[in-house]
Amino acid sequence: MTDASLRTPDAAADSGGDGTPLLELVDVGKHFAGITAITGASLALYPGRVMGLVGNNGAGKSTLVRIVSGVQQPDEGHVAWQGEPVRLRNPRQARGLGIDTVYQELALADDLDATANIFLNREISRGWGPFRVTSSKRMRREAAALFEKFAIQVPASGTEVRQMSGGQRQGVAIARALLGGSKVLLLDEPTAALGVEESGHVEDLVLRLRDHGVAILLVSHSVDQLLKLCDDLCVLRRGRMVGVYSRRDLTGSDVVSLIVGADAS
Amino acid sequence: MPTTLAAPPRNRVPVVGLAARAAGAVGKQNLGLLAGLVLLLAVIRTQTDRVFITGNLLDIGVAISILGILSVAQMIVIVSGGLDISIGSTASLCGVAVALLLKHHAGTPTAIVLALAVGLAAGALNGAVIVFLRLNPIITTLASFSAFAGLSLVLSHGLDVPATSHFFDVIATESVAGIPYPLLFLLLFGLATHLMLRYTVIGRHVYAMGSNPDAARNTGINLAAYKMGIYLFAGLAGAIGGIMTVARDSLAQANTAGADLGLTAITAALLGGAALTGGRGAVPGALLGVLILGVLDNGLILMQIEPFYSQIAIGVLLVLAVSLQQSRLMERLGRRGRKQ
Repeated sequence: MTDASLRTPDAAADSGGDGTPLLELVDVGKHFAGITAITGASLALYPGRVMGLVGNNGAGKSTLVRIVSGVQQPDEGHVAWQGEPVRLRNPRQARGLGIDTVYQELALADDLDATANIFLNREISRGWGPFRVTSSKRMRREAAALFEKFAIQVPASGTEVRQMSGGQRQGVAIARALLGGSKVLLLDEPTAALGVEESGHVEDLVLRLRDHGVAILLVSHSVDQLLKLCDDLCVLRRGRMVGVYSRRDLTGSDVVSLIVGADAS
Repeated sequence: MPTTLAAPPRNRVPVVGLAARAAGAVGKQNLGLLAGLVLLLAVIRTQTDRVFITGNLLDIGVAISILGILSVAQMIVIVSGGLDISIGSTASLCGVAVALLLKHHAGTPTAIVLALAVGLAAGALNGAVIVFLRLNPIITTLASFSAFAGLSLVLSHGLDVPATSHFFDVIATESVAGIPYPLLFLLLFGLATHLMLRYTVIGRHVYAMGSNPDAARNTGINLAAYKMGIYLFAGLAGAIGGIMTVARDSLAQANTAGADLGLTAITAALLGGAALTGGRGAVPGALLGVLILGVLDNGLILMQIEPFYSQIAIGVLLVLAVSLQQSRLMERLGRRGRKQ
């Protein structure tokens, strides 16, 4: 056991919640043909808290992300959803529970506008079978309301997503997940392709999501970003979990030391 | 134009001017085509004074009706990210089928229904190979283009098959409210397809799958079912085109005319703004593309220029139109790059 399991109850207390995390990974591990991708990973995601996930390439971040999003199943430990053990068999099932992974490039159809994208395959419509007619006005209204709630500054209609900036596209992709009623959002390097200003807008959006009670798992290479956004930080190194730390106890150099494995002061 | 995610509290709907509204109704991407059409008509007008006679316009309408139906279907296939090269051969095959059935004393309704079924079967075959063997649509329909053309030659022994039917005489010669039947069929087919693409959930999904198949699959859209449906639809359109050809000519010819027609249908759809990368294009564009080709053909005849030149003109037109569309696309992509 790492100090992760010791850390999480405190986190719950901090959040002022009832102490039951939305999603909990307990001692999770995954091996491929004898190679350990990740082992002994335990973390808990609470409503209104941002958990950062950090580590060098090959530390096991991607595997952990794939386990949380339902793409891969752990072969050690277990996953719990709202306190109940659960197997995340595929992304659709994970989404059904309320765990959504925002992949910018996978999520958006460039030739459709923002409303069409966030309602894709859950269109509000009337009529029957193949003749279901889309209720464009209602969808536009709901999309605009959603954008307004989270201050996502994108035109709801009339502009193809192709024409939007990277930050706006990220906003649409996140809005799509929110519309699906997601309680846990997994953001994998949400600002990797963005400039400084656009990154700032996405970071602001992450904080607003947190304020609205969304649980967030944020994968990022940027120590500054993690310190700015996260309440807790889960550090991985070479397939093992180093620990889960409270943001308040950390400085930038602490994080770097934890990542590379130098003696943390 | 707000480009940021920052906190201004409202999503403002920009005030749309009347001109922009009108352009929106036509479709911005169609304005260039309309301009091209007007230019074409003006050029022809300087050479002859017969072009604006309504009788001639109706002639053009009838002349393009079969091509139009194939182009509209092709437009959907291209929007979905596919391509159906075989649609002209499907038309040939269904034409031969309906003519042979009539020759062997089948009733007209039976012959038509069976020919439509042949078209659906051809589409189903295309769809099945694309979905289950995961072959590229271009390769698949290039293969079936050849196979269907061969099959129609085999069935007709390479000979013209004469076909007479009272019903065919009616639709070849008569009109409803001044609109000849073939043109009426095109208008109805185009309208139905347009409404489906633009206003139904199905249409929305067809654009999405062409635009980003991974995103579409990720949302749970059943791409296999959609692909199947799309090639079935193209097969059905091919059958309608083939039957209409037999009605017009009173015979079925299993020659290269079908192949030419199929390729011209692709040309018209691309002229009309369909992008081979998928996700882009609409029925009005395809119809405008077909209309431009029809006016061009007709104009050259009116100007007493050898019709062979029209094929050269079509080639030039296609390159011009697509390079124009691409430059607009590049401009957009450039804008997106700058914002990041």
